[in-house]
Amino acid sequence: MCRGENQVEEQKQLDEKEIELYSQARKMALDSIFDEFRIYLTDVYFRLFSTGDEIADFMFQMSKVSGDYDAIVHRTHIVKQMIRHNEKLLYELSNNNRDFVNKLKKEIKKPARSKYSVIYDVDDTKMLAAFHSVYDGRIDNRHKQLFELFDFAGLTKIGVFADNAKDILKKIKAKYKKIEDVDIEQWKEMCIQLKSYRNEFDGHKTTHIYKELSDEKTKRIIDYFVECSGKFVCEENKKSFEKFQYNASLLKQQLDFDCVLIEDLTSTGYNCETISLIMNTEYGHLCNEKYVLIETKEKALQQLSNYKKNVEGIDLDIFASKMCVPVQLVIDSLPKSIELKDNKVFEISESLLTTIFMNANQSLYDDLNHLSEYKSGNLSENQIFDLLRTHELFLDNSILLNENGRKYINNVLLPYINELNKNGQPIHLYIEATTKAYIEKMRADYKTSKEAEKKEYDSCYIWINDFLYTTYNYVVYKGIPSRIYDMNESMAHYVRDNKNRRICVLTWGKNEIANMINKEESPFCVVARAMNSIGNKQKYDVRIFPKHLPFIESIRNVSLNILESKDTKKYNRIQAVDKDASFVKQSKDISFRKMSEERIVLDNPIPEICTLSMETEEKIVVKAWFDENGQKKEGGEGKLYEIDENYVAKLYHTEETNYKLTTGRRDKIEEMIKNVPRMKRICWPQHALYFDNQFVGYVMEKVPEHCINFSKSVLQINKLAVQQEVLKGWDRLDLVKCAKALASCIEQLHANDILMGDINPDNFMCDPRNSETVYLVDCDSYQYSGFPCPVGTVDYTHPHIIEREGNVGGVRFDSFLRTEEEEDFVLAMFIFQILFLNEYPFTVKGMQPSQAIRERKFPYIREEAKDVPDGDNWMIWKNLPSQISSAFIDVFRHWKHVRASEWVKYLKTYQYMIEQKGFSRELTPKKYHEFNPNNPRFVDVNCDICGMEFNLLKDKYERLNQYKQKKLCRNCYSFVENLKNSPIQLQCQNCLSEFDSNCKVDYFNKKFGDKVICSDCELIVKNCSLCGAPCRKRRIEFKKLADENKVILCKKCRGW
Amino acid sequence: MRLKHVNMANNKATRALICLCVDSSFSMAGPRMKKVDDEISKFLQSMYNDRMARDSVEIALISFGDDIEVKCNFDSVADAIKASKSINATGKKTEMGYGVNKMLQLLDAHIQELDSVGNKYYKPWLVIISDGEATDDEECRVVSNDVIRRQKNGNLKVKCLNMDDEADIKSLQRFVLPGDQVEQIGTMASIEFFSLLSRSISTVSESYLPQKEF
Repeated sequence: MCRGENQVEEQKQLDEKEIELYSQARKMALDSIFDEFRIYLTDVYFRLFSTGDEIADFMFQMSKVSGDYDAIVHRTHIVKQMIRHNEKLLYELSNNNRDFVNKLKKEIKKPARSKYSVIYDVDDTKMLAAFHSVYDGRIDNRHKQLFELFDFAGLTKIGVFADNAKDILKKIKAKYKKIEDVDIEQWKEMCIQLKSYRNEFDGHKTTHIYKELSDEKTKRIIDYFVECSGKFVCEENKKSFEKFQYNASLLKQQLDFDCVLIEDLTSTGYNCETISLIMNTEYGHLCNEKYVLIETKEKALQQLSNYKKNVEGIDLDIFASKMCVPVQLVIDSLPKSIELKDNKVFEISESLLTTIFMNANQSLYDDLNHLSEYKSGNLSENQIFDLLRTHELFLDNSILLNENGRKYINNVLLPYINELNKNGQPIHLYIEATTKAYIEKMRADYKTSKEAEKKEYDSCYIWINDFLYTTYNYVVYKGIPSRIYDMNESMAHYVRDNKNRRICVLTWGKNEIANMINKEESPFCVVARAMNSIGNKQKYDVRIFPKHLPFIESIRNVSLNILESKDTKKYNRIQAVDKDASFVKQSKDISFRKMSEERIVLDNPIPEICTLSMETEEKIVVKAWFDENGQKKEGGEGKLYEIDENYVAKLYHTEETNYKLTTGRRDKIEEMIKNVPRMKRICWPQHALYFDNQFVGYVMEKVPEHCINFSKSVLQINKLAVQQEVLKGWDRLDLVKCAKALASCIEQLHANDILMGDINPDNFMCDPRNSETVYLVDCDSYQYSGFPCPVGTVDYTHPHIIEREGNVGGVRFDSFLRTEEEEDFVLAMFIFQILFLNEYPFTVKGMQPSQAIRERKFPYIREEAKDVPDGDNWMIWKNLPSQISSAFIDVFRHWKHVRASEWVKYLKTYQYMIEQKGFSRELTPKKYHEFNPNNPRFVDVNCDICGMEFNLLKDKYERLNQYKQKKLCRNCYSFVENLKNSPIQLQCQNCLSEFDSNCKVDYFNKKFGDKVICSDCELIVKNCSLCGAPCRKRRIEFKKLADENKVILCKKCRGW
Repeated sequence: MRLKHVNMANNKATRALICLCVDSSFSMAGPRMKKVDDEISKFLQSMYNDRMARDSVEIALISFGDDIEVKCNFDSVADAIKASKSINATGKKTEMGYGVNKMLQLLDAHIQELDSVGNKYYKPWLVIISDGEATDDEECRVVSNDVIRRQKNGNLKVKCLNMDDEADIKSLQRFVLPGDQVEQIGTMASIEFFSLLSRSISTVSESYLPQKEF
């Protein structure tokens, strides 16, 4: 990868991530060039087929072509549209061939590989006419549609079509003069070459071979691209071709560059920070935190030494005004060695000057004005103005991807910015480059089954790119897009790399980024959180996370070490879970606190719409919440009331028969709201609610409406209806991710010494669109700060609890504290249920679950495998990674303690095994996992009864073949074994006598035509008493010989 | 098509078993039979529409008149909807006793099958719909004793439905526990079944667990 004299040795020292950092930089450069190419080709394309008629004509040409050229025409797309708009038409087209239409529809539903194999039965012209009728009139719309239909690679493929190459070439020749002398054979060859290069360069959807591409080859491909593109140059696209050419040459140049460690350049007298600053800003080479891409190391050294001579003088007046400080301040801060001439410095660059200036410990920042008074709560209007004026406001992914977040920016922030811009202060919003790249990427390759989410990314991207960036120029992209860090991580990196700058990261609601930015490392950065005001959707609240406060007035207030020292931590990955300092961890040995059952008797009943006050004395309006059937939404403990789209209130039941409003609950909630754990997606009580100064309930975050209880989704995934309607497209990987997310929630709770207590499928919600999202609900029942979890269910209670507490006449859940170990056991049961499609670990054939638990009978070990319930359980078990299965055995057989954190680890491994090691993704695996496909242990066979394909061990297969026995899958085998137990009278086909037999014999006779033979007529083998040769006779004949006291003789001996 | 035993093992849903016994004597012909048809299909359809119920419910349907006809033997809801249309009320007799007896046999066999593959099931429902007196009084007496015994043991739930006020309910009355009423058709959809099913799917957290057999 790297060339140069000493590079081989250096290369060895690069660890994996560093190599990735390097290749990332390179790939980025490649990508940017390739984008140019793409744009250029699109341009060529649309110049070719610029009018509606031509499009139709072209499509007509294409439709004649057979083969799988989806890059040219996505015919499924057309048909899909047609079906949606006009199913009748389709019937007409196919001459009312109903079968064909059904087949077609079916074909479209599952994206088959051969997309076009079916459609050729339809008359092409008719189809085209149909297409026209669907996209009637509007050229714009048609263009847009066409854009979706074509891939840029299409052009390179045009020439490949033997039948049409001539027509296409004619068209192209008419447009592009340079191509005139190309004959048809050359044209075809060129197209084939372009096509294969394109696949190699950009990868194909079936293969990604970018990494194996050598630099030489890359260069050759780029040259060829440039050469071919050159042929399509005309007046209109001249500029874009030039740009493309320039970028291509730049890329080629950069392929030869070396990856030089910044630290190696420190001999020039600059420190690392400064060097990276200089190299990045002055020479424009791609720089990646630790490396700089430059021709050679010598060149880098030379450039650094030339540095001082090359830069033009910086006008200190301008610099000072940029920094908003008096000029004298700047001059005072300069080292004496630096010469001044006409208030200009010549020896250093502006960025270096900035660094020097910063390091000189001067106050240099804008006056914070109103902002300095901010302590907590909502930012006032003036404070937001000041924030925009003094800070670089970065929009993070949470606000960009949220519709309300975008509304907030549109309706509130942009008017402010316009106002400020009028006053002559150019203010921008900023977006970190990785965030932009991710949104773009996710938009491009989102699973089609998750249509809604893709739409979200689409609208987000269009809003950012078309509206903010292109049209109004509100946004500036900053940073380098990264492939190895996620959006939050690279945002945090950016903040730490720019610790001298005043940055404000704006999130929508909670986001992990707030925990990832460290006040000590980046003193000037704050994270602000915008949200809808509680109770009023039209208004917005913006708050600064308290851990980033106070705002720092000037550099004087910051310890210099932070700014100067080289940050060694910078390259480490940030821990995703950062326990928030504001959360006070509960002591382990906190004593049991009884929850009093004394009722709070309300003076007045709560109406359906009412105003309640919170503990902060703010007032909110709540309204009873009804579902689509007009039923009140309520749980066992309370009714739900709507507040706004982010929050709901839970008010405890006060019906006489079901009185839950007790002082015990009040005390617990009031304790809980003091201390909100810093976790995502947890409906922890946020505020207590009071009606006429009496406690009535609490406020919690709302779970998005499309989320569903585990009991109605994940645990029911074995039902076809759920697979088709609720969890569309989910497979085993999704189950594993889901279980992992769940275990990680429990892990985080345990880390904060909170126990969930009542683990059951109704207290978790899953997001059908994203399997890694799990919400925790019903948090008020959690065991917290000595308060017990007062509820539970039979199925999800640790047997020890029932043994221990049940002795005294039943289990009262509010009378004891559960332990972490007990909870981890229940967690294991729950994970088992998720992975085994709602099978309980203690379901044993022919045994009650309660008995199985008592006897610790966990049947999933080899010796007891016959007791595993039928169905897919055994195959699921055999397809688990060993870590998971041995953990299950540890828990359920040996009753060992496996912690939530360990489960997270194991499930991560499982996820890895599925993604990388080819473990089965099927919900119900049918075959044993083959660890070594080159030397397989298993043979694939079809079950003789049900026909399902399964696999069995080679030697077993041979044994069955040897004895001519049936090959049966596990289910059919156990079915047949069951039949054996049912007696039946059958007639022997040999002696015609009735005899006692079993249903298996009957079944095999009917199914396979096996002979029904009574035990007397059964052929058995005994040895000849003279020569010892095997002698086959019916059992009854042997018996007869014995009765007559005759010896057994073979044919030969008898003759003798 | 997959074989029944394979299906049975692979469908892990806890089964809700519903046994429907319908009178097919001649007196049921005409509007009465239509009413029964409507009611049953409404009932089945509502189950079919319930995503959670669809895979859980298994329906057995027999008609009793001169002969006992097994229309479906713990099949899926979709199959039962088809089968329910084919009852012809042409019988001279009303062999309720034999009909219910046959149903109990089917039920026992099915439960055994479920047990053998390790599937779970809820308490089965037996629904008897008739408009008159049984013609096999002796058999009826024996079977009704069995049904009552099962109910007392908590192994079965029973609902008896008659057609209208004029109908004779003496035979039906035998099958219900003392204190329970024979109800008129039209209340079938109100069967507790749905609340039962949704309850069993969404676990309700209790604050107290009575002492169990652990």
